[in-house]
Order: sequence, then structure tokens, then C-alpha cells
Amino acid sequence: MDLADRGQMIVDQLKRYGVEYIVWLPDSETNFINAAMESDPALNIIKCCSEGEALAIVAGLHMGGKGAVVLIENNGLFDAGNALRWVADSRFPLVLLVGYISYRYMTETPEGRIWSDAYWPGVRDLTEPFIKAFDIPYYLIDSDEDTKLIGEAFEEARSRSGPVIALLTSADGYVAGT
Amino acid sequence: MMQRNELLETVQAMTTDEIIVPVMSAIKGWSELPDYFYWCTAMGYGSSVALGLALARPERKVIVLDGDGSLLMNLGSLVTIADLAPPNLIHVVLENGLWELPGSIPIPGRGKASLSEMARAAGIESIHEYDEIGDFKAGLESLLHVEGPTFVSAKVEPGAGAGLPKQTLVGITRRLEEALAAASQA
Repeated sequence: MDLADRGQMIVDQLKRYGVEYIVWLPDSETNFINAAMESDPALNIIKCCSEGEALAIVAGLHMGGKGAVVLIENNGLFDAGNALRWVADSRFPLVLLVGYISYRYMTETPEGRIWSDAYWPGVRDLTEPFIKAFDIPYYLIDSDEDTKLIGEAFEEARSRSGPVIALLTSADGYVAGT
Repeated sequence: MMQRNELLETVQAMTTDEIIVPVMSAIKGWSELPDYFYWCTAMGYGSSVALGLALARPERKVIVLDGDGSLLMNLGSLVTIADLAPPNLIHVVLENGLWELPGSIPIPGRGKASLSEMARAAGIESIHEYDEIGDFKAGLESLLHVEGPTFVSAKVEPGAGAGLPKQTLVGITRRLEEALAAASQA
């Protein structure tokens, strides 16, 4: 399946769970979602200037009764640490879509996937420990089949009354040289 | 120059069903919490929370009581607010030139940088500056009934106020959510 189709699958999941707003900053890893989300008249797409701002806008939308998600990059999640801490402390039941830059550099071996050299080893090594440090559950969306986990993320956010992160990759759609 | 308490008392006296979003030390001085109220403790992000509320609830005015030190941490929000232009958002910045909570530390650019000019350059058209409480009161009376988004610079004296609200962070969040949900069903 074309990666753009996975983007549509993700958008379909978001709408199924009542999302009306996507607040985002552009992310290289998840640009396969752009066409699907921007062409959907049922979605309000809001661009802002920083990832912390995105988290705060989504929190405000949520308190006002609107379904909303952020779509940001893992680098930006690092930058938004204090806002993330506040989202967790406030127990906002939000699903945060986070592009997993550097995940594509994993290499298949008989023993499973291993890390290979990456441009930003810190991004590779710190994304999941960073999220774990905030005690926020997360799901890895690494295939078309995995997109159904976004629904589980919404269910878990509601049941735990707190944020859940969906880490999105395009690793299996990676084309060498891009 | 105004006292913070008299500005907050003025806002409290002149508002009814607006959503009030004080940021950090702007919480000090509320004799009782309005029905639609959210205390933002995410330093810098009050303007963005208020933007989200304004977009979600276009039928209500949203008044954020921001701090100058706080806004400096999220200047991009001025651009986002101007870009989306919610007509129901009033962004009041209490300018005392200090980061008050950690010990009244002067902010960078105190006396030099102009947040009003930054808001104007970001594309916000309705910009107002007040030094005296009477002017602020008259201005707010008008602004509550006109379309925004509106940026208000309010020069205030540094000063302490009453203590912090007794509700928990989660309690304040749920209180606003429930009040808005109930209002929607009424």
C-alpha cells in the first residue's frame, strides 16, 4: 500500500474518534499524512509557531469541548518539555501524534532491528526514554496494520484521563537517498 | 500606573459569562473564581490556551490575563493569533517588567522592548495601551462588545496579592470543562 494511503487510514481513525482539529508543525517523518488531512473538509488544520504552543492550543480546544490532536515531530516534543509536563500534570486525555524522526535508520538483521548510524543519534536514543520519563504511554505506528492502534490510544487516553502518544514512522516506506 | 489587584477587580466586576484565563501570578487577587475560569500554570502558554478556548467557543469572549515575562516565552503565539484572528479573544498583558514569582526578577528588554509593537508587527490590528485604571475600565467596556482579536497592554505596579486558589490543577480544569459543557446543554 502506498504511504499516502496510510495517511488516509490515520485520518480516518482520527475522525472516528471525534477529532475536528489538528494542530501541527511540519514534520518530515509524517508528511505522508499531509494530503489526507489537508483535503478533508471535516478537519480544521491549524499551523502554529512552536510545539509547546500546539500542545496548549489543543488543551484549550479540548477544554472547550472540541476533539483535537497535535501532529508534531519528536525533536519538537523535546522542545515542548514544560508544556508536555503541564499536559500530563493536568491529566488532559489527549492523543499526541509524534513523528519519529531517526526511526528509519533501523536496519533489519537476523536478530531483529538494530540501530544504524543516524544523523541525530540523540534523537534516536532519547525519544522513547524522554516519553517514558513523563510516564506517558505510547504506541508505535510502524505499518498500515499498526494504524488501528491509534484507536487504542484514544481509548487509553480516556480510560487513564491523561495523554497518550502515538509515535508515527514512515520507516517501511523509506526510500534510500531521501 | 495601575495596581494589579485593581485591574483584576475591574475585570471581575465587568465580566459575567466570559472565559477568564489568568496566567501564573495573575491568579493572585481573585476574591472568588468566575464560573468560566482557567488558571494557566504552563509558563508562556496562556495566550495559546486562550486561543484554543476562543476557537472552541466562538459564542463567548475569552479574556487571557497574561504576563509580560510569560508572553516573551511564546511570542510566536502573537503570529498564530493574528493568523487565525478569533474575534472573541482579548489578550491582556499585565506589564510590570518582572518575572514576579521567582523573586521579582527584571525581564529582558525592560523599558526597551514593546510587546504592543510586536503584536502589531505580528498582524494584530486592535492594539490598546493603558496606564490608569479608569482608562482601562473604559477601554474594557468597549472591547467586550467589539470584534477582536484584541491586544491590551496594561502597565501595572509590581506587587503581591492574595494567595493561590484552593482547587487542584485538575480540579480547575474539570471545573471549566463541566461549566462549558453544562452551558452547551442549557
